[in-house]
Amino acid sequence: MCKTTTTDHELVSRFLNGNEEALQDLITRHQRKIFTSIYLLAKDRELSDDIFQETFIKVINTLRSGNYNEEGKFLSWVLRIAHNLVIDHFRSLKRMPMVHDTEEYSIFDSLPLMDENVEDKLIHVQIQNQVRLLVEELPFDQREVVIMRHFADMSFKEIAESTGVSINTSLGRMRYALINLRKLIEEKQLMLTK
Amino acid sequence: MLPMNKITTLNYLVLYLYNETKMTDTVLIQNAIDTNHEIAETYQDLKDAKALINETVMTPSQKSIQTILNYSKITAPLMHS
Repeated sequence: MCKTTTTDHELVSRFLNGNEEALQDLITRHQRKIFTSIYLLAKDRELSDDIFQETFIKVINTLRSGNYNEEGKFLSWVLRIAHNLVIDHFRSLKRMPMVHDTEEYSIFDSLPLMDENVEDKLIHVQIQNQVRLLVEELPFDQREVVIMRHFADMSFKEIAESTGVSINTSLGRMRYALINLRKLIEEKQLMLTK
Repeated sequence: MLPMNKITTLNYLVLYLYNETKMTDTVLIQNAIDTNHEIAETYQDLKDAKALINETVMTPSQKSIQTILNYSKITAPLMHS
């Protein structure tokens, strides 16, 4: 028997017909990409949780008001909402987020509830944390293209159109982002292997 | 034929890395990686960094997810038969 995945479009339809589980499925499907995108911009876990909530409240209200058109991808649409909420937040504070070197991060948020080697898991979480801090150190336009390509699944053409630059510029930003990440790893002499 | 301009070649490496090249360009870039040591090294650096970015994925708190689901239930319009 062939198992087919329910599309985002179908889940949205079910949700609008009163099926709350469909909303939960949409969140489960996309939560990691959306939350990570928010966090890489906001650089603060608590704030990112707040913006994540605000994002989906806006999604729910827009869907129910009938103002969602099906032209774009659901994930890209949600990420645009999230992105704008982050920008609005820092605009209201009249600043962009700074890197917090001493930011607390609860490892228990990432530890799965499985019977695995705890030490290996802790090392993996440490690596994740270190890499995340490196991505946060990238200039905003490079971080933005990383988020759009890795988490919004946008093509470079779509990224270029969305950010109002040429495709060569968006490719250049990604190239610099990747090169800078490599440089940061070498500078900090990070041991990124288990 | 790939353009010989260095920056354009590097941009093509990024396109190739993210599987966005046309088939003809894919073959040319693969050949360049196989025959040019400098391009191969650059490509490996880009590839390593790309793999690391995928390690940054995080999840929101269960509390925030529950808040969203509760909001949706509380504000759900009444269904009429």
